[in-house]
Amino acid sequence: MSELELRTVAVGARPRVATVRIGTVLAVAFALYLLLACLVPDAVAPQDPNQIAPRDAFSPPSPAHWFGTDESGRDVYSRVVFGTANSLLIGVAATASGLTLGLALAVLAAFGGRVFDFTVNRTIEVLFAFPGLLLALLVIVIAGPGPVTATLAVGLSTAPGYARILRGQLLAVRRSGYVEAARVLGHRPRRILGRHILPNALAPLLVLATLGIGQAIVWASALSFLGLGALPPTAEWGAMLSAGRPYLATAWWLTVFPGLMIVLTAVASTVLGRALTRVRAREGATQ
Amino acid sequence: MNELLDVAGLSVRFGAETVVQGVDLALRPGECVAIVGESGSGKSVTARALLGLAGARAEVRADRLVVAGRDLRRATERQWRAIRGTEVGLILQDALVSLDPLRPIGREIGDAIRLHERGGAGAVQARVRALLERVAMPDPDAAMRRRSGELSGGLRQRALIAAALALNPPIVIADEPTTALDVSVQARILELLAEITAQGTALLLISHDLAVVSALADRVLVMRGGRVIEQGSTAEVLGAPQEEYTKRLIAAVPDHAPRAAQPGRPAHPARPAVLAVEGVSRSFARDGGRVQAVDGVSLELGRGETLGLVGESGSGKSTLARILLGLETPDAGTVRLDGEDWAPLPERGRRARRHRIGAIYQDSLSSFDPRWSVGRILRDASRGAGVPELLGQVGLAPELAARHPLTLSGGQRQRVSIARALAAEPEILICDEPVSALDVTVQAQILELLGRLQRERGLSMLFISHDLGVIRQLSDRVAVMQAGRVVEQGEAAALFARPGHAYTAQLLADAPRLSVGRVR
Amino acid sequence: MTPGSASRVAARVAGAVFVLWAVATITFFALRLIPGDPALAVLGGPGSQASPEALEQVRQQYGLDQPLAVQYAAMLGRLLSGDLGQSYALKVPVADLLGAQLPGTVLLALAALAVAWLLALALALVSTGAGRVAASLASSIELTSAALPHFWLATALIALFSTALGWFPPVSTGDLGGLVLPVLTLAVPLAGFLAAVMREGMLDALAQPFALSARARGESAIGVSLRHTIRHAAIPAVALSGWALGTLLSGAVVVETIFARPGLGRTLLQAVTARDVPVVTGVVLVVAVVYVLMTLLSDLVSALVDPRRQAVAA
Repeated sequence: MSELELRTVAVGARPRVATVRIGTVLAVAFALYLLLACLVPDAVAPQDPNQIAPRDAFSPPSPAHWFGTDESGRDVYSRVVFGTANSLLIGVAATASGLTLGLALAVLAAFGGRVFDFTVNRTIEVLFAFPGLLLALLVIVIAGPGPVTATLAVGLSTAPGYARILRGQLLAVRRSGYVEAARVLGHRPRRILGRHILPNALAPLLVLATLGIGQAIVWASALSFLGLGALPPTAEWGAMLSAGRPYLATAWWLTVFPGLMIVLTAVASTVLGRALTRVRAREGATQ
Repeated sequence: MNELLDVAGLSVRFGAETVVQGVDLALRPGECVAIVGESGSGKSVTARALLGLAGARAEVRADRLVVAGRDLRRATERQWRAIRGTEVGLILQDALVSLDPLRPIGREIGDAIRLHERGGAGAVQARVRALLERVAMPDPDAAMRRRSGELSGGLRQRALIAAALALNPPIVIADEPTTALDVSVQARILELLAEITAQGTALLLISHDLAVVSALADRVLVMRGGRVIEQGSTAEVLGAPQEEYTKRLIAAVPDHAPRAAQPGRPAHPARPAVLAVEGVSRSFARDGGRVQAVDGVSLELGRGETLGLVGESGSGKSTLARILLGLETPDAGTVRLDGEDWAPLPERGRRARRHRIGAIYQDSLSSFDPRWSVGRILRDASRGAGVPELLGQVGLAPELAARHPLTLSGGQRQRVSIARALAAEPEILICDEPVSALDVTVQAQILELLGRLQRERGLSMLFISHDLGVIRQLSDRVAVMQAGRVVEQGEAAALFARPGHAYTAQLLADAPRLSVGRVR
Repeated sequence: MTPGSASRVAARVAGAVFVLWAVATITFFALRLIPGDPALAVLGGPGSQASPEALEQVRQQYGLDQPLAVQYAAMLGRLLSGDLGQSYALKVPVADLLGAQLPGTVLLALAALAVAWLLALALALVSTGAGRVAASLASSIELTSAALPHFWLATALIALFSTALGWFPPVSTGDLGGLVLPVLTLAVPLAGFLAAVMREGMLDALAQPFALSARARGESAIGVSLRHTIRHAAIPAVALSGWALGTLLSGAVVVETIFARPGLGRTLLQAVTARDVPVVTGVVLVVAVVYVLMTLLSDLVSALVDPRRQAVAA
């Protein structure tokens, strides 16, 4: 089981009160803020992220510098804002590649007959024996460190989890009562595939992607933090963390704030993913 | 005053919603009082409120709430716990989930004793053994170590009853105690419950099944919408009901009188049969072995006739239906549709003729694409007829086309299911337990609809059910299945009047029926 | 043991052996994809200006002059005898290197797993049946802790407990105090996941009729939790523990690096940076072995917790 599967498990099908929750509102607000920071960082950030001011180096958080300043006196908050686009891009690209690979494996397993199903299942099982970041680290050994490698490496590490969820989904839909009912009506396999199996099996893709982006950003920043992904002086959250590490004892704000953005993004992605699941369940109930 | 249970003006609210209102109830030693009602009538909530278990959100009020001599209107959780198990025992539906599936039943039953009394493990064990003997559990020592999932439906229900009787409570509440059981097992459990009341225990029976109620109850309360609308002795209420609703409820109980013979209809299937099943067998791999689900079945469905297929769970009737629908391939034997090969046959050879056989399923909701509205479902199946027309045929308003099946009632869903089957313009209709999940009044309406459509369109219908009453009401001919085989088939009235096979005779004897004078 | 269950055990063991073989094979061939001459890597990389003679000698010493198939067969043969080869960078047998690092990492991971279980159980027990506010609070705690990245939690814990309060050392020393922050770093996010899974399991079990039956026998709410629902909730959490230990081992890379704690994870990171192929292979294999063993173990425990599974799992 992967972390992602766990999240979908934890989301649960338990229908609860259909009110808009405060958590969802906060998550949507934070997502909008991130979007603004991506598109118009100049409007969000108070300063130029690369403007150095050696006299202001290592100033703690203050009204002038919300997140303090770094070793060159650059405003940490502005750098965090300007780093949003890079970090989100890595997360989105990693999730997209992981989902694509996972989907390909799942379709192969579900529709390729017994041999493919067996092979894909064994492959997924073997890939699970490279837990967490291990698979990503292996990719980096081969291809060398760097943001692009790190992105693809994270994508590859998440693929087995996606593959397992989507395969289960495809098989469940294929065995469902409504697919049988369509067969009894004499509809052709292609029509059943197009009208019932694919739309229903792939409906959770959006939820998976939403949940997965937070996860991917965390893993990619872990690689950056270890010096294997995006490197300083790039304004990227993981790279900023890594750059701040030597000053942990004296200037905690260099690591805590970029890290906090990662945490908030991950939480927001989970909250939004759950909210989407609820919306889907409710739509099913009231359409 | 020797009432064990004395309740007046009981009401239960969940937030703004009142689910039980103004219920009065009394119960004396050795008496069986039944509360009957359809789903949502408030009967189960009433029963739970008597144990203080209506739920954390429930607001329970009563003018009088005396259980075994104690006023429980303002009882604390501790006071409630003192009467649960000792004064009142509870028996729920299906022990598979009503006893903890992870624990041996001996421990589950022993818990009731350990919670209220001190005693060594040996003493508890001996009492559990005695309880299992009391409920006629075969081989009680072995049974104690089994978990509910390892026992058959009837035996685990006995275990559940033993757990409720553990401390010999003067009152036992049984909430649908036989609903999930096959008729033969149900008959034995009803005998056991009758025995317990004969020994002086007062039984409050909650049931939707009037036949079960008439077999056990001394007095009956009819609930609807949270209120008791009629009550009295069983003979009065079932024999001479005053309320319109009670009359409808009784009239809806499937008739045990056979269908009126239709003029011009031969007693034997018209030849050639529209669907001919010959020597069909099918087995499945299970637990390292193979289970023979269908074993050499031969049947014929004549044009325009209704063939009832009756059998208990696991008799192979649903597997047979799936073979006829071309969803399962037989290991041996053939099925012919109008003289042409139907199964076994590659799907390609069947597809163009599939619309000629329609299907109606028990769980209609899962047979609808969860993303689709009623209109879309019907359009997808239609071979020409428009959605309003299709809805009209099954007595539904055209506005329902925009709705999602989830928002419909069980009866409406089953009507949509029938409309979908008709949309493909079939000659044959295969109905697998189409009314089993429905309340009895709704069931009666659906049966009436199916019967009418069958007559109007000259459909040939295979009607599968575990319920002899339902089968009898609809069928021209009946086939009885047991353990994968058809043990007997024949013209309905004759078969019911003079069963030729011992199993059929036993089924007829075990089927509960309204034993009080019928009202028409 | 029935013949059926014996054959199922055999199938499980065969499956485990297959996974280990596949991991070794994938790792072996994947690492051949590294551009450049491995012999050069042994001698310190492209900047080392090694002589052709020295390169030739290294090729012979490491068997790099043999055809790939021969090298692969030799690798499998060495693996069976427990030989993981020589480190390129450190010039010591990989087995010795990892043998020295393994206990520390396993101790860290197992301690974290135990703490995570305790935290999750406590949270799940306290929050079920304690009203809606408590439930949504618990859900928020689970969600947030599950989203905490190890690297950030570690730095935050150091900033708080070492720098500000001075309770625990920022660098992991050999003693118990040095273990606290690394264990917490690994345990808290995992506890968030486990608690969410357990709470869901408990709510599902509480909604089952057997919970009502138990209450009707006079069982208290806490009694129902302890005697019945907690066991149902433990089933998915136990099944997840194999996966959980795997992620803890992977998390050890970050945690051991931050707390400067010797172990498999830090060794792996150094080997990844230095492209020390034999060490990377060795760590991957060791992690795979631990993961596979833990999965087998969690299957066994699952069968104990859920006797219904015995027929399937054992």
